[in-house]
Amino acid sequence: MASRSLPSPAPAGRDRVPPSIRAAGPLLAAALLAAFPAATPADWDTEALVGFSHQGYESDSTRETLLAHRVEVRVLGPAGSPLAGSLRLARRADLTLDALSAAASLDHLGSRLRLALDLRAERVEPGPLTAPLLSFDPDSLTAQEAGSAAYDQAGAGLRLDWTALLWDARLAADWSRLAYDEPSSDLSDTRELDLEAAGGVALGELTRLELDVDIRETLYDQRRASDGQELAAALRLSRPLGERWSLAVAGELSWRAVRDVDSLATYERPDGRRRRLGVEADWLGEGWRELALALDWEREEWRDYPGYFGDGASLALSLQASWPLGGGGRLEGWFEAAAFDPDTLSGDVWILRRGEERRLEGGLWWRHGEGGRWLLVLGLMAEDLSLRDVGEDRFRLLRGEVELGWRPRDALRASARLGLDSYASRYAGGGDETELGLEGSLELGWSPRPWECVLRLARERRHSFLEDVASSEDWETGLELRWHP
Amino acid sequence: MLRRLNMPMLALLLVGLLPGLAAADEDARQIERRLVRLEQRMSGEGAGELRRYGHSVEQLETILEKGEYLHFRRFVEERIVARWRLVDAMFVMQLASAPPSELAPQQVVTLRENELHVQRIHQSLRRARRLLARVEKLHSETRRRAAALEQMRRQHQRLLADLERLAPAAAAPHRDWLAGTFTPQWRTLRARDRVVGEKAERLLRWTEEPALRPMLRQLNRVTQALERIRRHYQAHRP
Repeated sequence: MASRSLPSPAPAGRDRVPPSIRAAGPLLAAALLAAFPAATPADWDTEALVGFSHQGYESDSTRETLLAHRVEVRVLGPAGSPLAGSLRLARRADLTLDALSAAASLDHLGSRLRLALDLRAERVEPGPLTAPLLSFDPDSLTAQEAGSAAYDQAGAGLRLDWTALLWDARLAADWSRLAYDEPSSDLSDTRELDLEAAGGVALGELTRLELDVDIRETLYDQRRASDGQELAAALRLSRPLGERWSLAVAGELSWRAVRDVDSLATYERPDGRRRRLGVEADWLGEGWRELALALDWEREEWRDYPGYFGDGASLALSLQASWPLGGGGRLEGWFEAAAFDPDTLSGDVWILRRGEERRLEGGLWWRHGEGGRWLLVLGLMAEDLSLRDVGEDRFRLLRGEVELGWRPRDALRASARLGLDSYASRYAGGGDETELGLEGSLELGWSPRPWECVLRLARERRHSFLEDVASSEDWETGLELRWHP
Repeated sequence: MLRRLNMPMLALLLVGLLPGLAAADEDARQIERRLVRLEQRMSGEGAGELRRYGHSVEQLETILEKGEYLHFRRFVEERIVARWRLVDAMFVMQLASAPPSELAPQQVVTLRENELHVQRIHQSLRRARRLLARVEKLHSETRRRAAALEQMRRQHQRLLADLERLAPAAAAPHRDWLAGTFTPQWRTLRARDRVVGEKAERLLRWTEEPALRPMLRQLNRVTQALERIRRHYQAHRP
């Protein structure tokens, strides 16, 4: 890895928490108290969490350490009331993120009707390790920071669920706004409105038809990007086949439109549409016996904007299974095979148009002794990916993990986890790359109700072999306290 | 009397309704079992999709936030932009537009130097592509996992609506799981994904940056001109 010659991000507003965010928590709490004037503190379900950890990252050229912290308070309730509320205040600071957030929701749960309202606000600043967003200066052609990546985010959502005997309907609207401290042509304030309408109706005794329509409108203030709309409509028909099997067929159409093609950012998708057709079959047996099969075909078509985002079609098959084994053990597995065929290849070495893609991925997880004194988990995952454009790039990933848990008493638990992964790639332009990663963690938990205390030690080491050998190390030593009366 | 008359009717009604009620109970049980399995598949544990999504986002973060992003920009500056400054594009284009029958010794040296610089830039471009290949792989992986999780979330909502219709009390813990356990983790991951995803997109489309676009377009023209000159002299070699 190269040295971090560019200045680390030091946004002007690093210590400046906007009044709106600072006031959000107390305001939301006051709103909740006003909504439930009769509720006593005992009616509310409270959970508080405080965690401190010493985190570090070291590579050949970078070294950062930080006393990270996490504080979270959640209040839910009041119990037994048809009107429920929740409040969540959280602060999290680690090597790549420094975030302060507040969220509140109100839920009216009727027998057939559910109305939910949520409000959220968040202040996010980059952590000491976060790479700043860079762009090239047009005069000197050198990389420069594109502005401070610190931002405030606020949003509100309204949701209505209506459930009748033969049909159900769902209406949801979500509005969000993201405002940067130093907006620029690369980082500018964004507003997004997402509207979702969905409904299902029973056709006859067993068959069910569902329609889902999603409209998303995105507006940018001054960024090199075009405002756009997305519209997606999905139709799904499902039917049980006998007692154990169920079958569903889904068709989906989505469109993307941009307002002004000239202001389209280079990394943005232009006008286009996608069509998807999928078939799913599920078998649900006794215990943990389960088998799910899915076949998906998708076709994407984009406006031919400077040679990127070419048209193409993909086909994917997935299989998911779970099976109980003797002695309380359970085996879970999944397998996926997918292929993408573009109409044309880019034919250029440095245009990263999506090329031909073949992917095989699978995994097996074995758990033994869940809920007992000893727990043993073995996991294995493998992936083979081939990307062909001008030449063929090949990636292989193998990942294994072991977890051993011990619970001598109800209130005491200990667990050790060890993971090993290997990543190998071969590139068309020449050069092989191998990366090896080893990670281990130890956790000790003690939970004398209503307290829970967790001590965690984790270490991760990676070695990368690409021309030069590069290595990096992550470590964490932390203590977390949870109070849940 | 009225009660006695109604008794057979009540019995008939019960006989008619009970199998229906039993069937509804069985349906609710089946839906609840499906929900439990789906939650297992969506969860942040073991092979759960949320965990796989988190793992992909973390890997992309490691590459982009912890060095590769800065490394790549420096690589472009040092190995491509700096070398491009050494290329005399005007000289090459002039030679290509009217190739003379014979070159002066100094012109041959300048031409060879330019050819060498352009070759090295193309080597660096191939290396740049290789550096980005992994970012592209991880970025498409996060997109795929995010889409799969979105599908599962919608499936959970559908099953929950079914269960709420048949057994509202049984649906409560699953609604709490979705709102209290899954959604906060999913939202946090989505926010991290959005921030790191933007960097990945910019990195992958770096050749289209307005500041670099004219340079790369001119490099293409110079490469074609050099190829024309090479073909011309090969054809006229004595």
